[in-house]
Amino acid sequence: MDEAFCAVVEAGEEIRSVTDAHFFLEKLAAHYGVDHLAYLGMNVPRPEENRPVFVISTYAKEWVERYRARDYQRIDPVLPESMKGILPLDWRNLPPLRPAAVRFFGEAHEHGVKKQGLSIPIRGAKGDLAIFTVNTDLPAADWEGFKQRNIREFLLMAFYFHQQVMALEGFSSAADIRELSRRERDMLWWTAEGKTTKEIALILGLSDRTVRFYIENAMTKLRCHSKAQCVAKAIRIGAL
Amino acid sequence: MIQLVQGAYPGENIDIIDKMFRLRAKVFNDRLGWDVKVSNHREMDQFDELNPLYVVETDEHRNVLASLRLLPTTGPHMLSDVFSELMEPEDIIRSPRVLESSRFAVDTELLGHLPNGLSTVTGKLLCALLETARAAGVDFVISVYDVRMERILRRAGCGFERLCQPRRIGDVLTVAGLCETAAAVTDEIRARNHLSGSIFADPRWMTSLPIAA
Repeated sequence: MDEAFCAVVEAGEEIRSVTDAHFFLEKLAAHYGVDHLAYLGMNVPRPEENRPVFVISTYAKEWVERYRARDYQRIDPVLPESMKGILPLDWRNLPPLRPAAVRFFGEAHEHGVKKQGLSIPIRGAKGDLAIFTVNTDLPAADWEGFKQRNIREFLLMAFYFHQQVMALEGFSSAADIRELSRRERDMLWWTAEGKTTKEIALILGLSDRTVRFYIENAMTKLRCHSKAQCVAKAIRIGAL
Repeated sequence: MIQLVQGAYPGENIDIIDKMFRLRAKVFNDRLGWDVKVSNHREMDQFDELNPLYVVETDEHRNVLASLRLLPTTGPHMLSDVFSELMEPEDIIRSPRVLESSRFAVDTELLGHLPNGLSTVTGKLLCALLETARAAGVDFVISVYDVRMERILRRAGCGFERLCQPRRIGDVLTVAGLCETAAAVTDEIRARNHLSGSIFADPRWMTSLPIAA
């Protein structure tokens, strides 16, 4: 994983306000070279304001305001379709659009929303729901490759970002477990000793894939994107 | 043929989902005698209310041969909410790159006449599960199962690895296991069960299916 990306992820840890979150999305979009990123949280508890949805996005401000003022969540086909599933939705796989949805997309394009989209649903442990969207105007052939190369990172980013927003709202999700298990600590310890996955598997009498699984879980818990970053962070927070 | 069906939005596949719930009653209640709730000949639990993704294998008459249920581990799932005694609390898995498979059921009566029926049907369903997960950016599938399942899984070419010591829960020796979605795993299942080409009913799904892991 490159350094620029690690820096972006580290910046994600510094989100203390909606403004920070917005700024973070802009940095992340620039990192991937995509036109827009958009986060939409539902059932995110907001005691003081009873808003049904919580939006942070790099879309034009006029578009976001228009969307909200006109209740476009009623005709936006991406929302219901992506919420239906547990897997990311490529906008190209939307069912045939009704006239209202065609007009909606027309208006969205006028406000800078691009044609390719990947909307990742996130389901939290406490009934919290969110959709994280990647939006670009790459031609179809390039989009397919781009999506395949980056989808795994997007899944993690979407999940981390959601947890950050939940924390901002003063709501810690049960999904937010940061304590490493004994197995995970073992893996990171041997990794810090310079051992490869294969070597750790031999030492501990496990399979390679089980070692990869524990390391990946440790990475998710500590919100890291590489083994090296994860080891460094585990040491820094005193978990090793 | 493999159908992917959203629990809360079955659309034209509502008949398939209904047959799946009946199959589950037959398998888990009648045959295995598990402690499950059956009403009106259909087995359902609280996780079916959470809009899971069902992977269902059907024959040409839309009979359900086999089925399983997928839940994201970021939300409520069986290992975190029902079988948490299998693991230490900090071992509970919460990752967008890990899905949980549960309620794996095969209609052995419908397979009676097929040679290697159980292995072939199991292999195809697991292959569909892993290819679906991989296309969605998911690296691992976990599951809680009866240790007797391990032999059936291995025969189909899909080894799950144990994540914990087996424990007796009710009458069932239960274990949590792990499978990787890597192409090497699905290649092995495909080779073992002579599967080639797309196994999905909806061609739209294949257009966005990455082939490389």
